[in-house]
Amino acid sequence: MGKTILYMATSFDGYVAGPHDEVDWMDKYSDVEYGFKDFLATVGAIIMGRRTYDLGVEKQWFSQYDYKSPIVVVSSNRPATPSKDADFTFVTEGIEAAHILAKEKAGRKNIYIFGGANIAQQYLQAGLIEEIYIGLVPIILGGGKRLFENVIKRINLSLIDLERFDKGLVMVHYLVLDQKVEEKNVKIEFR
Amino acid sequence: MNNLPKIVFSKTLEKAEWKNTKLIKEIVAEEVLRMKKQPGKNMVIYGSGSIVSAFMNLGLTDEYHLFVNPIVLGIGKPLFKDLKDTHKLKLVRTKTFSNGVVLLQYQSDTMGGD
Repeated sequence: MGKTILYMATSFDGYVAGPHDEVDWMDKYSDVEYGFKDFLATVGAIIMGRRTYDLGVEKQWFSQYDYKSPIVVVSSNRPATPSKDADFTFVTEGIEAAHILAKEKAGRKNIYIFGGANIAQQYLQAGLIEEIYIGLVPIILGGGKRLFENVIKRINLSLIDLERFDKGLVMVHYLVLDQKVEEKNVKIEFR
Repeated sequence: MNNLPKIVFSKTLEKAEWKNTKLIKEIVAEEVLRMKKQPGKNMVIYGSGSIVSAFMNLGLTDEYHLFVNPIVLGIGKPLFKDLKDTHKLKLVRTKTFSNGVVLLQYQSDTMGGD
């Protein structure tokens, strides 16, 4: 049975994008060989959000990179002319329906939660993520869009591995252990 | 720790009672730079709050040694906030401990990247 794995890059202080949605600080790491191909070889299905899909089409990620696996897009509607650069399926019934479909498509292989942050948070909050890979980019942004924004609970992790790569990139790999809703923190959040 | 020279930055503290402690009211870059030029070992910022960002905004932090615990809190107090700029880093060292804690050691990359 495959696992559901979150695999994303953040700044050292945990942001996936800067205060104005900028991701240019990641650009110079795009050529770093950090084991992404080996990871993709374990993947049988990919889940992403609609904004990430739209961005990927615009930036031609799917024509430039052969993801091979079927891609399930969590979306409020189906685009009029879906991209033909990968095997896309659009699910409008929410993240859990998308997860069930991705499981069917993945078979014994893993499900890769591609992002963006909003989808990642929804899956984390739903307790569906079993492993987390975070590529730490050596920069402190000090503000922006946090990967773990809106995750209103504690998630205990167990370190599986840490690897160093070129240009100071660090990949941390965690197993998700127990998860507990912190009611005290919820109150602080909505004060 | 008791014997090491300590500097406490505080606007409200009247007197620093801890042995070998100097009380300074304001973080002034020139003053810190002067201390950095003195012979001797490194100075460490031990603890959080506004002093971390104040030193970073003045460009006074040369290295970051951070222990990352294997837990997602989701909400709480971030270590880095109220920063005026982004700070590029250079990875120096990593170390993993058997309890899953990770030490990440970076240098301030004042050259602005490669």
